[in-house]
Amino acid sequence: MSLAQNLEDFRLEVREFLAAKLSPELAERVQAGYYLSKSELDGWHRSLHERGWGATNWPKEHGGPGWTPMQKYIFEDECSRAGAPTLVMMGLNQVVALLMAAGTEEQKRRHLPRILDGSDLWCQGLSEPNSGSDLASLKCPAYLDGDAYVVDGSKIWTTAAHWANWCFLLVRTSNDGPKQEGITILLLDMKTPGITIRPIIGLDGMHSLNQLFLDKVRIPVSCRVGDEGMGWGLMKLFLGHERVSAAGIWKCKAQFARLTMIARNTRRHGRPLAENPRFRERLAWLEIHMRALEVILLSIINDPSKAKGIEASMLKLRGTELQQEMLAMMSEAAGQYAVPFHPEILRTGWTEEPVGPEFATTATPFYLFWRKSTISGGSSEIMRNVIAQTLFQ
Amino acid sequence: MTTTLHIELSLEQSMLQDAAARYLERSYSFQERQRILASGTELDTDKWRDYADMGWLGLPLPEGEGGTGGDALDLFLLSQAFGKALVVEPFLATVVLGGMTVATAGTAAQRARILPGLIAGQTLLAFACAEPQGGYDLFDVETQAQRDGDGFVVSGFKSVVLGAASAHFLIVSARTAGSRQDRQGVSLFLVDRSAPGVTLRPYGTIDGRRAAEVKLDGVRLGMDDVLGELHGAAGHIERARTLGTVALLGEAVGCLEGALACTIEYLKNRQQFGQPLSRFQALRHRVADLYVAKEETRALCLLAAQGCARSEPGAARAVAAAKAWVGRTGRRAAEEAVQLHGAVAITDEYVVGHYLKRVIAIDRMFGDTGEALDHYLGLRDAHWGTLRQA
Repeated sequence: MSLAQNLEDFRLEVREFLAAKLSPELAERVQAGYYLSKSELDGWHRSLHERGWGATNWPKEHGGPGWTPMQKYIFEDECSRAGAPTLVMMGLNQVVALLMAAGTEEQKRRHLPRILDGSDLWCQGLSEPNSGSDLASLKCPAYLDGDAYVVDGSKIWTTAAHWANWCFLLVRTSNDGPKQEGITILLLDMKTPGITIRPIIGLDGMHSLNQLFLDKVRIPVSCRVGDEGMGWGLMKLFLGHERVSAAGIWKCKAQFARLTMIARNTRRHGRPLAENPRFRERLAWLEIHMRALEVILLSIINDPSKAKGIEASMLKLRGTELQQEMLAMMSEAAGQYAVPFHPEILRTGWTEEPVGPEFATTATPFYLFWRKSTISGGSSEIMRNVIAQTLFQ
Repeated sequence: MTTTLHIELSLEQSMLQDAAARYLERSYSFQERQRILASGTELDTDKWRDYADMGWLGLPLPEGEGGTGGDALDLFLLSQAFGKALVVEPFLATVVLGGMTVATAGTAAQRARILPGLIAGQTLLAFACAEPQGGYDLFDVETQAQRDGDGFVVSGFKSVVLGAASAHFLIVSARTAGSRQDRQGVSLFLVDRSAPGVTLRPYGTIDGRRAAEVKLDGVRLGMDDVLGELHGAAGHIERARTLGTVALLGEAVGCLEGALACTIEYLKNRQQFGQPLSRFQALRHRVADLYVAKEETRALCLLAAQGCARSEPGAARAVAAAKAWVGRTGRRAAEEAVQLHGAVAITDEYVVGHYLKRVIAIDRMFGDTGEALDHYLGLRDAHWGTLRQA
């Protein structure tokens, strides 16, 4: 049997799974950009875990499915197409990559199984109020006191901190030498005394981000990953991978299909918006651009040496721009109904007659929420810096 | 999926890339190219002989005709190297448009008459299918071929025929049936360029090549000069245009590679305000975007070439998408490379402006951005139509 045939069979297998396990109501809510509750996300994690597909990036010996890069690509593609929820990936990707590279046996035993089955949800404490793009300038101090580090400081833009029971934390243990040195990685149990979580309400009126205040929080030395002061080098292990997934090419494809459908069903001056020459032309350019990025994505997938390089930065830079343009067009398609704002509906959906077309409820908040995609995970400006640095070296 | 999105080059294809890049780096510097242009000739005969010796003139031609039997992707890769070196010789006219049309449409006698000489570098062809009133529509044909005894008399006018002045034979489209814009009723003829009644008005092109307006005034041709099916040349013309477009896409990618490389070099070396320009973030970010534009263009163009090479059902759409993209993003990238250089870029003696010229010329061949996008949308609608029926 040819490789291509095997992959097509695999695609069908994924489709069958999604058809059986993903309810159409949930899929519709995901594609429309409604907010999911933690229990909805946990439920989806359970379905994936039961099938052995919870942690697609993990090696087989740790409970991953042992897929090839192409299988992972097809899996993501099909999940996005079907409208499967996106899990909070901080634990599944970053923490796991970190522990596998530098964790102690005890840390792996303690955390990996609970990340795999979804018992633990992780957030990441990286950015600080005064350290954003210049992450290595972070100051959150930690000093050793007996068998624990005492941490006193603040972390910000922490997605899902209000749900998480563990936090992956970057702290400063030394101010000597270059700023990249003296950064240490600690694993923080969110039940530890001294943690205050302040919700940050986004432009969409919703709560997904937080600020953490750490007041003399004690973290056992056994929760340190790698040696003291070596955190920055370890971070580099997975920053590139984050870029490839942050580019969200799969999601772009699904959003494009949705945008096209909406443009066909939305009428302007008695004709479908999709037949308006200007809208049509913009759709065509988006589609072509998306195709270019998908070819680049596949070249990265088939050549792992590219995953952390200039190619990944390029993909993140353009993929997020493309996604934002699509969401802007979705909001445009809502016309005057882009303006009514119903934050209370974004989580639950309508129980009464919607105001305007149903898609309009989420279109503009979704657009506003995703202005973050060119800012978080390394802003577009940082991506350009990284690309230029390689080009001019 | 109608198109395979993963681009795979064979070992032979990597070797072709390397060989072409090595030869052109050694023998086709920008100064050398400018010397060829200044000599006023259409092609440098030494270079053309080298191309023949390396097998490039027979690259896409069938093995049975003495060629290498290369596919659209091979052709793309060689053209890419030509684009980076800004090669001016009439490879597109002679090999891609002319040679391939003779190979697919010609009789055994016609192929024997043309192809061995072409592969050896002695015979040059030109593809005379566009007309002034038709623009990019190659089926808008006013040139008439009237039956006359056991042959034809051809009269009409052909526009912007690349390589016409040096060509030994012109491949001329003429109407043998139907009315002006009909797809059917167009025939191809193999016309000796020095035949009585053929008049050329030659000129240089914006990108340093040679072309001509061709007037045919009662040119007498025999039945054995008809190339392919009488009245049925549309398919051959379309194939030539598609393959020609793939070659142009390759050149365009080569142009952007060259433009990016010289921009990076220039910014590293040029000092202003007491430091190299490459230290200014405003410029660095623009170079990063230039690189991304080049990579996106390369991805789309390679995809189109691979689709053609594998005769994939989505190939026509991929070619239209890439052509449109080259005309828009490719042009902007070349303009940006000029802007980033500053004043030196607007002189004829510096290379970067010549990349811009070539990209502009490429956009105006076989349908520009708007045309290609319309074509893409048309094919896309047809595709959606079949999906809806399914």
